[in-house]
Amino acid sequence: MRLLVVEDEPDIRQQICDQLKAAGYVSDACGDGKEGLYLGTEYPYDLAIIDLGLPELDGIELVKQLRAQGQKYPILILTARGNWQDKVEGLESGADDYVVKPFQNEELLARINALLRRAAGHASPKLSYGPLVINTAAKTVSRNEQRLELTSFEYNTLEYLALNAGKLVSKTELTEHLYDQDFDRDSNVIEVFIGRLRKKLDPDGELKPIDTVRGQGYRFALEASG
Amino acid sequence: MRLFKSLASRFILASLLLMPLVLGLSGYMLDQAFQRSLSAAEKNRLNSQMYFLLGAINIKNGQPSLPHLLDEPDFNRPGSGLYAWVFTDKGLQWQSPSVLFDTPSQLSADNLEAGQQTFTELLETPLGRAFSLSFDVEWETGDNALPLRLVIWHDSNFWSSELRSYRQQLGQWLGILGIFIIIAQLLIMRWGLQPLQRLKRDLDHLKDSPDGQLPRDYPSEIIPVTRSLNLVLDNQQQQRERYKNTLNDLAHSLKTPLAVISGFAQQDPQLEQKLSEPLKRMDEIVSHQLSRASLGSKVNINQAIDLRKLCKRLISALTKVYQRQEQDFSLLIPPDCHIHGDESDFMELMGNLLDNACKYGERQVFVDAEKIDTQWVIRIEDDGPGVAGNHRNVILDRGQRADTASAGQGIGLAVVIDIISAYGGSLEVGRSPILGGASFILTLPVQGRQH
Repeated sequence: MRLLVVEDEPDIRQQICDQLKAAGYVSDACGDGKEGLYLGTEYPYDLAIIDLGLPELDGIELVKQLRAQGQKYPILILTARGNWQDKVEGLESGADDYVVKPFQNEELLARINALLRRAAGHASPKLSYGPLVINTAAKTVSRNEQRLELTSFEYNTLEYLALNAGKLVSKTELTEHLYDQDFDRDSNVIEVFIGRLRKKLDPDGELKPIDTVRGQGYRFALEASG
Repeated sequence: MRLFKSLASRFILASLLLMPLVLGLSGYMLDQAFQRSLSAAEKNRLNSQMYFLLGAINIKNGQPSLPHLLDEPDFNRPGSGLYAWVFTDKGLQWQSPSVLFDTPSQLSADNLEAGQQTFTELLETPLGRAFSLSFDVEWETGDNALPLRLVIWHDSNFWSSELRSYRQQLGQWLGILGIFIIIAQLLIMRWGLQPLQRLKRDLDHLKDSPDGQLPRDYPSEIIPVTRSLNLVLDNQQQQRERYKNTLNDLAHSLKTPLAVISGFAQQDPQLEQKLSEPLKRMDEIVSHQLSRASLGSKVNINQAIDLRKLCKRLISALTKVYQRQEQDFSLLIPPDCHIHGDESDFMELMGNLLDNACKYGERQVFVDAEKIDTQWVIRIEDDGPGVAGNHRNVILDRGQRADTASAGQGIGLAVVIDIISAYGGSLEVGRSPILGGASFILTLPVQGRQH
């Protein structure tokens, strides 16, 4: 998952990015609204975290312009004042949720998680596919109620594919959303991860959770069982 | 002196002191003028009697003689009040039949000098006060001349009664004039002081005026006052605006470092354990005090807020945050629910209450407003577990919260209570009869904030 962070206070920006990295997200960060607008329209993000008090371009204006340019990813606003006038204006401009500063990292991550899940159309943090259950809140995967040991890259790959279930996801898209920019796109690391994932999720080869579309990418093939 | 604290009583007192003086002085002058004209008439009358007497005199044997009965009946009727005497240098020669008394001692023929005429007003005589005209002539009788003195007295009864009736009339008229002047003055005073009453009305309704200023169409004497008042109002508004902006800046500049510290603290579990509580308290204090301070500085309390529209905005924001459907909210506030106040105050008030209803409720939220007499009764109910009876009072104490485990509750409700008390309203917490959860019942005066 690739997230955009627009926050003018360098310390807070760094803290958020560190937290996101620790939680397995990839993030781009910038300190003013203009750059935020550029990044937000140029790159395919899964979510944006935008502070309301920004130089160059105010946070609310940034949200409005991103929405006006057709960006549909969820937007989480950060507000220092925390009054309802600001919250309502932020939400009316197109944001999906707000977090009031100062915030607990857990709270921020929980909100991000909920927004990503909701954007994929899931109401519950648990995504069930027959014997396979992905818990997006705890970031764990279990099969027949047995917890599977996945690395965070493996988990992130699986979560991204599952949240885009039924859709064809190219290798480029996967790299863009899951890995930092300096990742070597020509390497076959993705293929290796997918291979490992398949083995861990489906050791008997019965479930076939991930299809390979030759030359194009992958598709999560399971249907949610509620 | 308390009396002088009222402009009206000052005017009345001044005119009560001045009016008798003016009326008395004019009465005196009119009286004097009338007396003069009465005396002049009396003199004219005596003059014509004198000519009549002169015409009636005959000189026989060097002595003046007059007919027994004169044509003027008052000379003939005894005690009529009109008397005449004719003297020569030898003494009294004739007196009119009306004289029934001894010749008064002050009448004599001394210093007789032809052509001398003397008119005396209100002469003291044995008969009382009288007008007297004496005329000295030299009567030509062939070769020598006979000096004569003619004296006519007329008593002052007629003069006095004329004067009395005039004074009576004058007194009545001046009295009526006085009453009329008092009434006119009261009316003039009311009319003159009307702009002051209007000023009071305008000041009372200042909150309804679109620009928060007094109108400029006052009489020229009051315009300096209203101009100064408008200046003061304007200054105050600017000062409050500056104050509000400073506070907002303060919120930002305090909250951001707080967020930084909190972020750093969270990177170290030991540090976090030590700092999380004080940081949380600092955050709550900053939030609470800032919201209270900005509540006190609200200036634009003149707008009528459409509460239904405001709640609609909040609900559509909350549906996003809490993943609810619009139909989970029963918004029954009537479209005519307009409350005077500051929009951001009400945004905060309703925002916090609706947010609580979403946070603690399961799904359904009920919002209603009803006008009862001079108050708006606003109900917000949810289908959550409700507020336990023994916590209901705690929830109303400022800054305290019933559930210490849920962050935000304390400040939110404290802000709600601050706003309600600033608007002179009250808050009641109970159990929702419809949804079974908590019910918050606000009562706000219709005219909005009172100070």
